Amino acid sequence: MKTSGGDATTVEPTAGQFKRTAPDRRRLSAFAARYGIFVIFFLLVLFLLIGSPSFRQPNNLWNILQQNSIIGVVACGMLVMMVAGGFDLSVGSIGAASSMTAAFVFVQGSIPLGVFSALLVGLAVGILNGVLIAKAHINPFVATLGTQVLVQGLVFVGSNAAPIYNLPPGFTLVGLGHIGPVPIASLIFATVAILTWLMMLFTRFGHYVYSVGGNKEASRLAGVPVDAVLIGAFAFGGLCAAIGGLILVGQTGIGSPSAGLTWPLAAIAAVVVGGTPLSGGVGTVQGTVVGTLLLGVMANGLNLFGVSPYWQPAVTGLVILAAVGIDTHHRFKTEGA
Amino acid sequence: MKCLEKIVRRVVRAGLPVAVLAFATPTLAQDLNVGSMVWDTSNPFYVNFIKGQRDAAAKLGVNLDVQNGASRLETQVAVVQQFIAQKKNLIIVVPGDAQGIVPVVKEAAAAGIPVIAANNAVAEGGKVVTFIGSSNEIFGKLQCELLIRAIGTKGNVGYILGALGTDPQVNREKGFMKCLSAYPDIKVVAKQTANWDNAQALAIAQDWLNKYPKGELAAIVDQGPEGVTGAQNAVQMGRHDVKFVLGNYPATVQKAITDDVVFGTIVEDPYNQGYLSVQYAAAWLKGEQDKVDRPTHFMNNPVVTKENAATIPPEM
Repeated sequence: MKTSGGDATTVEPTAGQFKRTAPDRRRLSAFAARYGIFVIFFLLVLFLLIGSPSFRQPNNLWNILQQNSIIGVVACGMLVMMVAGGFDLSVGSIGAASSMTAAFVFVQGSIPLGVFSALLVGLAVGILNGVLIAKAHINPFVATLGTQVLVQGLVFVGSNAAPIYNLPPGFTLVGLGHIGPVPIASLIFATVAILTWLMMLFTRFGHYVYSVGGNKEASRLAGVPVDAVLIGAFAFGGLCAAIGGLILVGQTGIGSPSAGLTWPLAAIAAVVVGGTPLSGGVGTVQGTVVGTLLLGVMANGLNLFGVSPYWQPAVTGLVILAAVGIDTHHRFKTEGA
Repeated sequence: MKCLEKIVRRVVRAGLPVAVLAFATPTLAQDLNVGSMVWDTSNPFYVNFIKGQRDAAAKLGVNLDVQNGASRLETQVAVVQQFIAQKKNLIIVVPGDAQGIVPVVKEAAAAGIPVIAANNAVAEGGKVVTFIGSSNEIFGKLQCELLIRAIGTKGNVGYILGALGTDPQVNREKGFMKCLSAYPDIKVVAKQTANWDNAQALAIAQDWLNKYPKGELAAIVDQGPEGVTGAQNAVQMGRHDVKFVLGNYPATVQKAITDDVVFGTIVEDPYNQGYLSVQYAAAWLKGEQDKVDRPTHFMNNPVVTKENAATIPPEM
């Protein structure tokens, strides 16, 4: 309705028109939806930097990177699988199998062959997972639960459940060595993260992963080789788990058949906290990296503040719920508006 | 027809004693059917324990069935119930929870199946033939005494625990803290669980070495052997001021002690615990009950330091 008074003409909204929200509030909501987890991570780090003199020591910050490199690498692989619409419960068993394979071959005398064998094991199990899901149409939960138990059993049978000791000391450089102040394990994590980011954003395969995760049938109808993409995603996940196993051997100097028991849930937590939904089709490497570091910084902070080991799981759970809850709430509000 | 009757009679006469003998004579392997429930067969400690059990079973003609309790109480209970259903002659339990296993041990007793506890005890209420192992409380006390040898009667200490709620964690801590109460100038300034995991123990040790600069932390005591990785990292960081006292004695710890990375450890001898558990089971079932030490057979816990590490072979 137009009204006029004096020299000015104003237009007032009619009953049928919706009110426009203030541009600043909309921009803030969009920012929070996109970068919420980064803000939460930043605030947590700021709190710890101010509250704990030990936290802000350079050694401590490098240690956090080193301590979370294994889960970070595994989480990069888990991200690709989750974006493709699945997830992998066998990453821990793959890590154990890879670490045992590497340790066995190291003791025979060849580090390069040990590394190659370990990566091959990870790739093979990852491909098996992909084939079971893509070709046999087994649900990812069931398929990877099955391979997790199968691989763990085979490792126990092959090793009699005995760890492998007396590894060549040189390989501990991978887990505990530094280049300058930077832990080598963190450099491996950074390399894997960058390669994953490049793959997901700049290769056809990466685009196909997002497409398949978004809508498998539509992708198939559009000519995307869905089965090959799924197999590729899980093969990549297996490879990342094998790299995690190699870093673990480097850190501990032992091939351990029961390693990696907590990896599946830790990696899924890192990816979900980083903003990737379980439904697939969406997710970023940078979010996964931040999710990994957020959980690592929290664990470090709890240790430095001397929080009782009985309280730590409860505090960790609360922070995860809060972080993911706030982030999800903002996304819902922005996408739902 | 008469000829056939004669043949049948001869066959029956010849076969009857054999049949009677077969049914009357008990088969040794059937009478020595022993089930062994180990709360977590994937724990490296139990590799040699189970090897000891299997070696004893092979030597003594015992039909041994080892099953994994998978670190879950409900699985441990289910395994023992399965042994009861299978009518094992005797059950050996290595429980993860001394109290939680009591009801199913009572079930076994009600079914007339004797139970032997090994390595970890069964709490009061669960009647067992005997307990073979070392006392985790004494183990913790020995760790405390080794700590005193390492740092004297004054200093700050970090204490790394095993998986919370397990019998070794609870009772080693009990023994350790009880002994430490006599030394008021030794303070436990930090306590965390590494869940018997090397990578977790490494992270905890790294965090503490950052939190407590040189001179502020005298020692780190770990209930288990997984602290060896943290000890190696400490040496790499130049933190020779922190002494490491561990528990159990795998090959990595032996090397660390001889290399002066770890001050010392307490040995538990899993092989002989396992061997003795089956040996006692066989003796009990054969009626040689005087050969079974009751109510407990406590095994010694040797203390290993650099002085004797070369002469004591590792547990695993």
